[in-house]
Amino acid sequence: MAMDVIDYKIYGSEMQFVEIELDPDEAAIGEAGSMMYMEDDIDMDTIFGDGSGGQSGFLGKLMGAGKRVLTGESMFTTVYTNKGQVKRKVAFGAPYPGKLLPMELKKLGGTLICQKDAFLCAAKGVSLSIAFQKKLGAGFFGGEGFIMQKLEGDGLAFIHAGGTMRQRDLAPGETLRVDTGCLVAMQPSVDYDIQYVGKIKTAMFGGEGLFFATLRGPGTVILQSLPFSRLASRIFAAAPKGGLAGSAAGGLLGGVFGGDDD
Amino acid sequence: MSTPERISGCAFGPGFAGTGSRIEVELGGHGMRLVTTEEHDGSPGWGDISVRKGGFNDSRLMVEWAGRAGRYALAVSDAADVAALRAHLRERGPKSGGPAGSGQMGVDGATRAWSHGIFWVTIVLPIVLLGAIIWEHDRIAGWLVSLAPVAQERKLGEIIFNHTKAKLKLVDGPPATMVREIGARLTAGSAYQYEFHVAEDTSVNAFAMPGGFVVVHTGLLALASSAEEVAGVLAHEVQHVELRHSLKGMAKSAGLAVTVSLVFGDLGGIASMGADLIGLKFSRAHEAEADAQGLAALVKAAIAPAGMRDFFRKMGEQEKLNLGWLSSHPASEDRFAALDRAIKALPPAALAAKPLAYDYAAIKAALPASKAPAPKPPVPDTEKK
Repeated sequence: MAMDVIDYKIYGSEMQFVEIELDPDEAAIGEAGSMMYMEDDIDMDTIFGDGSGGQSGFLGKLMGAGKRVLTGESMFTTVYTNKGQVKRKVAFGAPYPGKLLPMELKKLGGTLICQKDAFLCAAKGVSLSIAFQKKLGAGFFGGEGFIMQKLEGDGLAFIHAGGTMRQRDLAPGETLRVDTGCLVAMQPSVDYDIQYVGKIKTAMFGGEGLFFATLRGPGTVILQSLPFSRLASRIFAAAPKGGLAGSAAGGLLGGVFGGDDD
Repeated sequence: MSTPERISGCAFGPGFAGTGSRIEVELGGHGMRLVTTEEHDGSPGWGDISVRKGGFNDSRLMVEWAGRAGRYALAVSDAADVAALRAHLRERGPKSGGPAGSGQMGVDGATRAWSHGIFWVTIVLPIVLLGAIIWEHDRIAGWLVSLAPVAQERKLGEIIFNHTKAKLKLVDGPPATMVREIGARLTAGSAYQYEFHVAEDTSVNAFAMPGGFVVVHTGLLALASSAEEVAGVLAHEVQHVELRHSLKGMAKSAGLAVTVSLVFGDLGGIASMGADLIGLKFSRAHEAEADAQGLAALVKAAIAPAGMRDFFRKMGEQEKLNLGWLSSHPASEDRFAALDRAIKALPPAALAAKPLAYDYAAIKAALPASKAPAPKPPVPDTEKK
């Protein structure tokens, strides 16, 4: 699988975008709708699949695209190719406040497991597929659901997540208990499981629910401080609720109790 | 074996990269020999290593051992390499947690039994509890609400009404008088002190607040064509107050939110959306109850019940979209059908009630924003068809 080697620069601090510089004939792939701007000579082409050449035949491509829809991406990927003679730039913007992280897949052993919808853009040749969580407990209560994304390849990929990111290398056997939803990406050598909180009182009033997500090394994990779903639900909870408008004879007046919705 | 078998894997530990270093490993007679130029802690013997299945989805074979500098691990993912390693392990029989063991936290039997037990109890129990709460929501909310005294409910209603009064444009005149008189007739003997108001608003709406505050929009009065129809709407609203639906709804939604967040912790939007949908389902039951009890109240107050039913038919015609499940109110057509069935089941004496002595056409004309520039005096009987 030939991989394009691309140069890049990340702009911004809390709401970032990445500007990728492509040599002639190099290409980058981007999540549908993520492109911010592109220079002359960059050709935009939407393809079915992720351009890695991993699937052959129409049915293979269809299956691959279908799996990608389950991971939160669109069925189509857009490929941005530099058709000119000089270096050209194309930029991709993150869709919500947070950070962009460049992941050199070669250094990480070629595979990275990410949360759904984390992928933003990559060098052409990186393949996106499903990583299906087989442990029932981790799937239900781990905060990531049963479906995660798998990025495979040797090139550079960019993932985005909410809040501030922290990368930690876990030593063999080292355990980290993580709030559900705060995991962005991890190497496949990391054990991902759930663990009961331990005390009934903490479980009921701690605000974390009944389970932690437990990460056990070896391997690298990337964590985020503010999962977007939490930000969205706080905004939603604070929004004024339309209590009186609407259809006939309302008896329920929402918004009187108000309170936290986490 | 003349040439030691080699496998490749990703090594972690002191001296190796934090993200793992790809190395080759020789499987020899005494143990494993790491073929790498990195500084590391010697070669572990077969008796020193422990093997388990680990990684994401237990997809890798994790070989772990403790060296002088710390703990080391080798992650083997290639299927052929895993088979070769397993073959060696079977021959040498090292101390291991069992290659078939999954990467669970507690490895000994008692801990595993406990963790499994707690795990199942903490999944099954909350779901059963949640199911029970949803099933018995009425009884639980009813019990909670019955603990609240009428005076407190009145105070709550006052607060809500004063808050909403600022946004309403209350009107007086013949429409308001009619609404008050019919309301007084419907609520004779109630524990609550009612206040009936008419607000200028073209939307077809009426609502009730805890403690007895009822507001009717002029849009609703404009859509109705007789006093009996308005009486039907008022009877429905009065039942919302009598049956304490607002309080019950609050108790239910608070209780449900607590239960859902208890089990799922941080599912964010999904939890609140689920709670909302279930909350909507509760209030649909309330609406059906208010319809049925309102009908009974009309009969008791000797007002012809057909008006209530006919009003919903009008509303059904108005509603172009039949939202069904998503709306907090059963579609007007369903309500019309339900009321029709209930009326047919009434004794004929109830249906032949004396019509209300209001000239509805005049009342309609007296509504603000009607075509007439000023309220007209009562029109003579020759107008009626």
